[in-house]
Amino acid sequence: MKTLEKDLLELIDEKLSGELMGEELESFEKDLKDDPDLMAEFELHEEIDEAIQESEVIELRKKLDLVHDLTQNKKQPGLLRTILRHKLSRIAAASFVVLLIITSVSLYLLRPDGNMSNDNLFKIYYQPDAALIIRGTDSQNASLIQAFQLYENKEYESALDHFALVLEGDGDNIPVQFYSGISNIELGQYRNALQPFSFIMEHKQNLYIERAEWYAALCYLKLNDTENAVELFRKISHSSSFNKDKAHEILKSIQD
Amino acid sequence: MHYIEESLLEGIRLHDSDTLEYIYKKFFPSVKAFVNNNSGNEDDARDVFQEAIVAIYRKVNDESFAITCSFKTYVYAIVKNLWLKELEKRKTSGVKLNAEGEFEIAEEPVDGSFFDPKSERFKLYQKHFLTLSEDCQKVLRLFFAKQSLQEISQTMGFGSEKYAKKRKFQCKEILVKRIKNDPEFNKIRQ
Repeated sequence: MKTLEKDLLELIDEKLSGELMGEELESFEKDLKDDPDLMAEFELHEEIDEAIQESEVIELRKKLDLVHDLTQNKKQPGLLRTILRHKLSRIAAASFVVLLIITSVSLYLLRPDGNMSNDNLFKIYYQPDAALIIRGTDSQNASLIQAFQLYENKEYESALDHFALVLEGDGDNIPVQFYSGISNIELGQYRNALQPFSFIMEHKQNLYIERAEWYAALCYLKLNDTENAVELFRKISHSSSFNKDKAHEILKSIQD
Repeated sequence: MHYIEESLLEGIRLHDSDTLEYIYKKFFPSVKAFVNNNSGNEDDARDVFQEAIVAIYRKVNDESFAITCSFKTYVYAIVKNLWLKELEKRKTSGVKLNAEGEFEIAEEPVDGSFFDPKSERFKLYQKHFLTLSEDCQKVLRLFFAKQSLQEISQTMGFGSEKYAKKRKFQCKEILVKRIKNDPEFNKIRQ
């Protein structure tokens, strides 16, 4: 094999990252064609990459494990159970976070230049939420469907107009409040986005609270309102929200 | 808290803690009993139930997805089919499910894509991804979120882009090794 000068795994990695160029790329592609074992190895690496990119599924798996332990394992240590329950003691949760910080302190201290601007953190962690799927085609849903289609097509300004129309007749519509918040972020109107997110956070018993907290915290970050951002990220990192690890990472970066 | 069918699906889509907790409390005991009655143990029940929820999550984002029976019947039908596949894979002789009560009627025809071999491989890969150190998971996550090596280096506090690249490679190597060492790996590759 011509490509033996470099480790094969390194070559596979570079090919998948799009870093392999010129003669090296040609030679590697020829080897792939000629060597079924190499091809099988390459395909395995490619598929693993694809699986890792399902970040939402991975987060869901993590959360399902936590929920399973919380609901099924009666012998679970009291502290862990407490941490898993986002509505319970903040003191215990805070202790856990302190513990986490201590265990990762070596890595933490080794960071020579960990300072990230709020703007950069926002850029790294912000991703718009996929549109809600509205099922059914009755006329009652027509304006909603249109609003979500506009959102899906990234026509956020028009989507906002349609969301506003829906909210005129149904101000408590939580999904619509939520997606008007995201549309505002997409339009760079971070302060306007805070209003619907706050509404959702204050309106208890709904499915969007965790996400609203996350996006509101990111808005505060973008607005350089570090105090409010930190307060919300702390709340998220103490909860069982699927963004708790990311919130923890952001807090570490901010507090550097 | 009482949940209507549509909000259970939306709760799964949003990874909502309360919804997931409700689903576990409400449906997992029956799933556990069903798997125990059919040559499985509690860990098998945990696995199969998680796969059923993940399979539903993947479907919920699909516009054409609709369930025509109750959520309970739907979950049990997926669990039943997934467990049957697992027993066939384990070559349990004369596979005949002992399905009583709610599982007996859980015959909603479920889409074949729920039992895609690729989903099974992804399950193994993702399971091992979650066993990596937090540091490794984060490096790989940032890399696949299209962060540049410079940004990864900055976020992680690494000294250089070169080190970020090396660390990403090492983490992937550890992951591939763990996957290959899992006895399940050879079974799903057959």
